[in-house]
Amino acid sequence: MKSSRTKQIGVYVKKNYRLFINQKDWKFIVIAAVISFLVCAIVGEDMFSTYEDTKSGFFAIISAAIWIGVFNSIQGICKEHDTISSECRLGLHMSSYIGAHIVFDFFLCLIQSIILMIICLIFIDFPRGGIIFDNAIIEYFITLLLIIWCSDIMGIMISSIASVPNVAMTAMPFVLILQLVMSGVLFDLEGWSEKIAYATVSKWGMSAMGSIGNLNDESLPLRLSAVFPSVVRLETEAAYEYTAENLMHAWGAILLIALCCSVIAVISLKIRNKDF
Amino acid sequence: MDSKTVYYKPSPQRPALLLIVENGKTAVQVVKLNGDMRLGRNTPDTTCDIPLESTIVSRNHGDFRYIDGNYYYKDNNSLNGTYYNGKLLEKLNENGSRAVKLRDGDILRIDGDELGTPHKKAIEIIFSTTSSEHEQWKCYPLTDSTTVPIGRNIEQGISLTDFMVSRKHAYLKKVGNKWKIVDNDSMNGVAVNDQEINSSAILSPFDVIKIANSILIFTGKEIIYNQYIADNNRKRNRQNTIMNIDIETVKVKSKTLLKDIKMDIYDGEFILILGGSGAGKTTFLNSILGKKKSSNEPSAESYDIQGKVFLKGMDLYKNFKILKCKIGIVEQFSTTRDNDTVIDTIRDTARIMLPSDCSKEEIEERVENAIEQMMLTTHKYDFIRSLSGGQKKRVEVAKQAVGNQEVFILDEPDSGMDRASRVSLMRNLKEFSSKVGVVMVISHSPDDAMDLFTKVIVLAKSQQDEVGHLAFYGDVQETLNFFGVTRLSEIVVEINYEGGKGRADEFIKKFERINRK
Repeated sequence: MKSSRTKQIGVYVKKNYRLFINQKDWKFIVIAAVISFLVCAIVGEDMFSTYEDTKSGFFAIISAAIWIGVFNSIQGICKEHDTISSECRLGLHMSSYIGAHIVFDFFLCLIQSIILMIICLIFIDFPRGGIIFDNAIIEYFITLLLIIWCSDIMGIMISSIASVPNVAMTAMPFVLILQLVMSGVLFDLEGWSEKIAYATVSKWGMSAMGSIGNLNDESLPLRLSAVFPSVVRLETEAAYEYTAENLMHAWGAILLIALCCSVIAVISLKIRNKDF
Repeated sequence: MDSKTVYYKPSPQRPALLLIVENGKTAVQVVKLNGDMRLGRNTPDTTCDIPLESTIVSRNHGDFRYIDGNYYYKDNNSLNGTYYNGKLLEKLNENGSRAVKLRDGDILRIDGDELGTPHKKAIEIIFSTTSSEHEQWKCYPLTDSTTVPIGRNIEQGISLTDFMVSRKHAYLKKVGNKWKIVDNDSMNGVAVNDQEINSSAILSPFDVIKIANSILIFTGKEIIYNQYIADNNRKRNRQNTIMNIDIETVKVKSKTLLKDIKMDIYDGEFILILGGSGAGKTTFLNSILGKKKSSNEPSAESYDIQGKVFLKGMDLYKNFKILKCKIGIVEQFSTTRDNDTVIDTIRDTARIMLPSDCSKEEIEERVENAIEQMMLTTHKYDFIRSLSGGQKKRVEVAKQAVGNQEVFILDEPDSGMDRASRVSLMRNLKEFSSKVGVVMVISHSPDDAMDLFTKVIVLAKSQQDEVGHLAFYGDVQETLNFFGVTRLSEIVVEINYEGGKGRADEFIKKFERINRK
């Protein structure tokens, strides 16, 4: 029988681990720690003091998580297209190759999200009550893991499409800007931009974080309220609804985006190596 | 203008085998073809070189002729005629039918009009240049069960010893009163009458099944099959044809890049590919690799190839899935990962290449063998990044060699190396070719290892039609004589229009004239 896809995933997960060690790719973990420290040190103090500060804080943490994830993988595949073509001819399945990257990167993202969460806990005093779990920290952690992992898979997709690392690195700022703009924090999204936002990790990440942090809670004052106590929020945002359904919906959307990116990555490599 | 007459030297006779099966008999008659031989039925008045007992065979049924390295068959206007790969050879004149060039795996059949229901004395003859006369033939009767497994070293069913057969490779299943063969998602596929099957195929009597290096003849009542004996250290028989190249044109869009490339490549050869600028060396390589595009960029244009390439008698383009694993390519660029070790690189390749049911021991044996063949034993735990250029090329070859490739193509493996490294690598490749099959090399510094090559392919771009042609194919001494030079590197100077003497068209025509003789 042919070398099975699952067996090939195992072979490439081990290969990725060896290369991670030999190439000193642990630097991605250090970079993640530095970025997490910088972001949390800046936003930490004001989190959960006002609505705006909490929302901006979440936005900054999500942006950092997306950057960490995309940066993990954006150069990994495009730099070895020739090797992949050669191995494809020898019997490598593209789905196994991408699958192995996704599996291995999950563990890298897991470590990075643990670090990010620990640093967040050092600087931010999170309210402890969760929506699904008793402790909100677990929910924040799951959300951060999903955001970093999904962004990592998005990086894999870009890297599969790009022919060389330069092209991938040129595309990276555009992808990040799109994510930031489409989060719905900086601008109100309407019409086509709102539709595009549905395909971004930032929108669903913000929805999940806002939901766990209960941004709709009236006890979270607006900045203006400090000066004008009578100013109150009239409308709540559906995206931040403090319900288990809303949170699961946001997590599911992130996973769906990850799945789409994985499929596109496999198709892209298959097209590249078809008939070659 | 060079006016030397080239001495015409006929190719030495190459043995081939005829595997003959008569309907109702369970044994295979193996006949060694040695030059011109006549097929017929022996009677008190007549004798034949290949005598058959069947009464439907005429006394003077057909002739095998050996011409310039190839065998041809002609039916001598026999009463029942001869079918060649399922088609009756029509009478051409009073001497018989047209002669057909025989390739490994071609099937000749002497039978009645209905091939689906063979005559009780029907004869099937398989022409083989890859089988050995020492191979053991066995018979498996198909009467006992409705499902017969076929696999490597299995206890029940048809057990084959060839390493490239998966443990659960395929099975035969009785459907109504017919048998069908089902490919069990095997690594190296199944071909019936030299056509790769998709997942299953209904069998007709006298169908020939190929599984890796084994031939299985379905008679309707039994399977007669050979037991291929793999020996990695065996010397290749340089008289067996591995590849027949018969390319009429290779085009990209409407532009013709290559034209009229015809040659037979034999087992164990170490071949140099020489060519002037724009002569189509890369296009030629891609064509015999079965690549349909010039690069892996999605925007790369597709080749339009008119012609055929046969690998061990099977059409490469039609059976690409089965055959692609038999051709290894070592590109100019690196396909290894600098931060991986030699042994891990080769072991991982083995794991993706070899059937999933290969044991750890089998994989390790293959890996160690490839490392040893490429003289990398002392470097096996080194990182690729720490190796020299020559050692890196050896790793690339070892990566390919870990499977069951029989044709290796190396695109400028010696570029950027010093003379000593080049010679060492070429010696290694020459030794390798004698064990694995055929090694073809593009090199721009061929003189250092001139004596090592067994054949030289020269491609040249014609100024008349701006297309790459075959300017010569022969051994090193013949090549030097043909071009009137003393060193191989001078050939490129002779044929190049830019920076050379611009004699490509002269040599292309001269070679065409020789071939026509």
